[in-house]
Amino acid sequence: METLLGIPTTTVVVAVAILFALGLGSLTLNGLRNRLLLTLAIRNIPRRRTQSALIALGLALGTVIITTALNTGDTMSYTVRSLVAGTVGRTDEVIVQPVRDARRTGLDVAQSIANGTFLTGALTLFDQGEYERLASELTGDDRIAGLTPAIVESVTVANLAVEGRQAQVQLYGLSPDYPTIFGRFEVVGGRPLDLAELPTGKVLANLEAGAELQAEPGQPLRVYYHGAGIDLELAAIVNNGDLGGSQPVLVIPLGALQQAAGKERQINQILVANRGDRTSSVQLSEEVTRRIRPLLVDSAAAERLHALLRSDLARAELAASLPTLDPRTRTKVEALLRELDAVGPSPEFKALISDPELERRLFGLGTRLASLQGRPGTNLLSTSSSLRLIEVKRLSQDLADRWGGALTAVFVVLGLFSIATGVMLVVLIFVLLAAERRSELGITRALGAKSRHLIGMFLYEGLVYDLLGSAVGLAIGTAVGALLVLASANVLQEYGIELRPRVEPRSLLLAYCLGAVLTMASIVYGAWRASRVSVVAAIRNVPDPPRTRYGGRWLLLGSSGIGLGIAAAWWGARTGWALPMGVGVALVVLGLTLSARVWLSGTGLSAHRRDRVCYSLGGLLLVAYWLAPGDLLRAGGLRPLPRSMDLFFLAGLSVVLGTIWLIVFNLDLLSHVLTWLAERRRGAALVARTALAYLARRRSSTGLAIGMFALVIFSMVVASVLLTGTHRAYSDPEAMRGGFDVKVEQTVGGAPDLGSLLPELQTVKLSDLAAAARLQVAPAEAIQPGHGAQMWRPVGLQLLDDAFLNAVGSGFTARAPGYRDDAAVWSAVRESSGLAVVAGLAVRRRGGEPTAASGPAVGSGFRIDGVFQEDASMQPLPVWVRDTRGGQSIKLTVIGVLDPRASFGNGLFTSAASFAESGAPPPARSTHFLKLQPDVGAADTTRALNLALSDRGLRASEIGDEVRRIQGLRMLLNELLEGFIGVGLLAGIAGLGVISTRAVVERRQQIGVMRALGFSRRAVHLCFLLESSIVALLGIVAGIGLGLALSYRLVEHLGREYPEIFFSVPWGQIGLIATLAYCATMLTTLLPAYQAGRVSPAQALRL
Amino acid sequence: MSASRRMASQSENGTVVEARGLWKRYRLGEVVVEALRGVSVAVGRGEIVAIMGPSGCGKTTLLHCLSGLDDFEAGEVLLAGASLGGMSDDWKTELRARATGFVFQSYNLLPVLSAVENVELPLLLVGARGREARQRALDVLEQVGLRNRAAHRPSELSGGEQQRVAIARALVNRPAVIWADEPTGNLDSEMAREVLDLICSLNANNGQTFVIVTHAPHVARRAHRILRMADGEIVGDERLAPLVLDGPAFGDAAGGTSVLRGTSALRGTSALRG
Repeated sequence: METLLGIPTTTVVVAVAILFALGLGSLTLNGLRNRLLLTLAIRNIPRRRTQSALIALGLALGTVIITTALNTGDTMSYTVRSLVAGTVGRTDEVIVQPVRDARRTGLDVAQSIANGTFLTGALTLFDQGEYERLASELTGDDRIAGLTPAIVESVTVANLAVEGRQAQVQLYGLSPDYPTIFGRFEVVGGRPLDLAELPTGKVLANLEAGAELQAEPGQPLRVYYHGAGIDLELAAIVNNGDLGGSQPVLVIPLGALQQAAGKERQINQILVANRGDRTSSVQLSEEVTRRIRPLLVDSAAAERLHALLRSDLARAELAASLPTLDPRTRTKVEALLRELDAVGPSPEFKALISDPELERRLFGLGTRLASLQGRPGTNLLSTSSSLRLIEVKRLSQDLADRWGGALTAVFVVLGLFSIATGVMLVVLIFVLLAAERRSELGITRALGAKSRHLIGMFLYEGLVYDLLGSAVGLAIGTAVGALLVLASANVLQEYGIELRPRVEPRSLLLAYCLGAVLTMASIVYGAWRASRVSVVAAIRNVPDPPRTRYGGRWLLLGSSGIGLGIAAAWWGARTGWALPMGVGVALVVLGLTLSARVWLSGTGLSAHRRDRVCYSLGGLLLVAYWLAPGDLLRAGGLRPLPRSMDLFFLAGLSVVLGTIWLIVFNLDLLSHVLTWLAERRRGAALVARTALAYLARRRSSTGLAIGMFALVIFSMVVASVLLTGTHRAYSDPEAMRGGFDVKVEQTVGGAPDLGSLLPELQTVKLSDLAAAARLQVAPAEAIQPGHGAQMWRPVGLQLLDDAFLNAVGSGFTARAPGYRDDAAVWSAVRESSGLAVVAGLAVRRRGGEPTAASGPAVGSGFRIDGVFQEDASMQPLPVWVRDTRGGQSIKLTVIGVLDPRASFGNGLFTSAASFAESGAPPPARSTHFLKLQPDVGAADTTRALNLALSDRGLRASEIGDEVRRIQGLRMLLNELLEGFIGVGLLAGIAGLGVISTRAVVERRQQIGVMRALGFSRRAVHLCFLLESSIVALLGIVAGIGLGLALSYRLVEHLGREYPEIFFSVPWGQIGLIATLAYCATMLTTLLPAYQAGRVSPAQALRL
Repeated sequence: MSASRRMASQSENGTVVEARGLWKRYRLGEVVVEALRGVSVAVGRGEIVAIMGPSGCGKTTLLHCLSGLDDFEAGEVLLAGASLGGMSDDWKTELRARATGFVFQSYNLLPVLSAVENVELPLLLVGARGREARQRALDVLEQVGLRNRAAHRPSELSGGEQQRVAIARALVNRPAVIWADEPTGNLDSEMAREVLDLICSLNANNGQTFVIVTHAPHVARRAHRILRMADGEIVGDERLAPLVLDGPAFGDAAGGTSVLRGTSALRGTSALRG
């Protein structure tokens, strides 16, 4: 894992280790200088062994959570990295000619590597002369260890010796003199094998391919490549070293493959290996890329592009797009803007404009510039050269880290709530310790110890618990992590992913130090709280006098908060980083609240009312800022922050804090209501009044307790809502398949149309098919009259034939009036010309950014206005579309928004007949969707189709397969998250147990008085139970309410990228969580409450 | 038999509390301490009785045993006519709520309740209605001179004021007897005098019975009787002034003169009885 919440992990480790060392060092030194206090502190530990052990365990909780999160992240990251490394092998970069689709990013390519469809169907063949030109240019560059021409293609291979045996393998056509750095072949047994020795018509297979094909040397194989079936003989099964990684591979001399396929001197890849070994070579990737990319761009094209981009419009658009870009792309666009200051194109400029990631961003700008110059439908910013260098290994590793990092981030963010609960638990434990030793502390103070000495004593004692607790936490966390991974491994194995457990020593160090530092910080606060004893009150064992002074200290604190908050918000606004902005807002509200208490002190309001007014308003502000809809904030001149995962903890903490302020400063109102309600049962009224009086007067401990509970329930509710949303989005195969079972795509240009082939297929019976539908994508642009900037924007125009429109089963999230059901919409599109439906992805969410009147065009595609994803109905919306290749513009009326879970692609969907009216040529490529008869298996049909179609340039895939894989991952996440948050819930429940115990200890004498006055045992018992019950219920209700409200915003934010995720409340699950939490809490408070009832009044009054 | 009925059957001879041959032992580790050794004592209605003696002589233990706060090993205690020996904790609790009041050295008001809420607590415990209880509590606060401090919490009152609130709380149910354990122990001399004046006036005007544990001779001198204790035994019983019962019958829960008598609140048993 390279980063943690966006910060390099190494930086985090070093910073935390330094903090830990400083804390430990200063405490040790201080302790050695005050040996008496140290001795007093240390001797406290064995006094109550069980309690000490419990405290250490409580303190271990934070470390357990951190260790579990980091170890799980390490395993995920390592697994994905291994998966990628196994696929890419020794190749660091590839030079390819992608199928012309400028919106396909390098990252897309990397994703295709990870899911096993590496570059398939996205490459075209190019002249081998390009390799020779590059090889001569790069001669002598010692950063490049190997360069070789190749044909690499995923193909279907049949073993003709075993009937029906076929497999999907990577076919490598390699030059016989390829550099051995890419991998040396060895016959099983150890003898090296030279590719030059391989006779014509022979092929090598690696162990994986041999196993999948059940092939043995000498057996005939048929390879379906580029529309041709090539018959070859298996020469040997070999170890292929680093070449091709661990996927099934067949190797054939390049010349032989070119000849057999009729592609003389044609290749589809140039493989590049950097200097270094398999893992370190990627470090040179950036340098090698900068060296090679300029060689792929034609100088004249570079000059033309440089001149175009130097225009004021282009520069303004580029500059305007900066805040919306991810950091990596932003750096590149900034570099591009700098390059535009130069007179002519430099090699750096050439490297930038041929970067596929940047190219995608420039796509929208290119088409807009073309429109302005009266050349619509063209992209002025496309480079004339079609070769691209893709940093496969770097991108793949980034992707691996992104996946591992994203998972860790989810764990860490959700874990942070548990950690926050743990921190509160630590504080409570220390306050309890102080309550137990109150008279001792009073006497120590009376004897001359200063407040700081008491803090020191608690710190020394706490340090021992901390060091022990963190070590225990590390061990438990590692074990819990291993258990989670073990449980997940079984789930993932079913889906063909092998989990590789991994624990980085760096993560262990981080977990230990971070756990210890967090605990230390909580102990410092707890010790400070504990040290604030009133000497006389402690010795007499009477309650501390109230602290009602609102002096300059509070004003200073408040003003500092406001100042720091404004600075943080300014910095956040300047850098576009949302986190400091969020922190800034929270600090300003905190500062205002604290300062307002001082400002209002001259108004004659009582301290209680002042506190109520200030904290209630502060709380409302905090809650409103994070939960208010974006539109409302914008209307108030505020910029809404994204409710993304990295801000989630801050948002959660802020709304919980705000709500706790609101609750605890108005608890007496609740007390009046409850007492009034309980008036009929006088005993109940008295118990309710006494219980609530304690809660209302002890605001800090009540707030801490409700806060602990609310935080845990909040995080559980959010996780539950998110999982339900993703479950709904990904677990309904029918919604994703849209009524179809198998998809057949063209892998090469010019492949025949499936429709014409179906009747003659030997392996598939036509009667097995219920429907064979066709979908074609026309490159188009669209404009919506009267909405947003009146400009043509690129859109995928999906053309559906009648068979498709008859068989499709996908639903709509919104329909125009007059269509009684989903089928009626499809039927209308089929029967009436000029009707269309729009993909869910092309529809905005309510509250999202509206279309700017003249917004940046960099990277923005067409999105329809006038309907939102949340809407259930819509008015018909007219749009105009035109094919970028020619023809007339046509008007389409959109009458439905397609369920975003449907997997047919993005853009507008209309009938092929409607499109024909534009006069544009039909698109060359088409995808077929097959609907099978009920008793026909999709997997068998897919295999049969592949066997028959591979030599025709077509590939079939089972649509439900992907759904199954996603379901597996969802289940895994579900299990991991539930287990993870459960640890936090334990902390919350333990916290309430601690609070109840503390209350009994603290109020022993008061219990004596109550008993003396006539409270029965049962009444005292009920008082304590009711207190815990109210705390738990308030925490549960606040947690559920806030969890639902914030997850609504979170889903709204996620929905911009994943529109298939919808807000849906799992009431059953939430009810179960609430009931379990409440019952568990009551169980933990039963004992202290019982003990309270058993307090002997005579003994209690003697204290 | 309910506690009220038990109380109603108390002797009519004017004795509020009586102990006969009371024994109480504590175990402190391996050592057994005999805190009370066969103590016999009787306190009459309208008396102020001071119990004096050195620390550890058993004064507070005697008070706790007489008031039903603590158990004893042998002997018998009759409180408001009811025998505490073998009485269940719940009955004792109800008896305390109806027939006794307590004043402690550290005042021991519930810090989270206001003065008036503290005072009305005993009334609510025996089932009084909220409005009646509040009015009665305010009346008693008026009596102790703290009507204007009713809404204040204990932390906002001086020590003397807190102790007066504690006396009001003890008084509010018109108990048969008020037990006071070092009631002036935490007060300066001026405040102590005020509190003692209040106790004496309540006794003189209302015939309220007080049993006061004290170290202070000047406190004991204000009582009608001084019981002197040493080593768990009563070693002296000195009557300082004759007992005059000329005030209105106050605090005889058993005698049925409670101001709350006849209200619906007292018709049933305590709502809190377990």
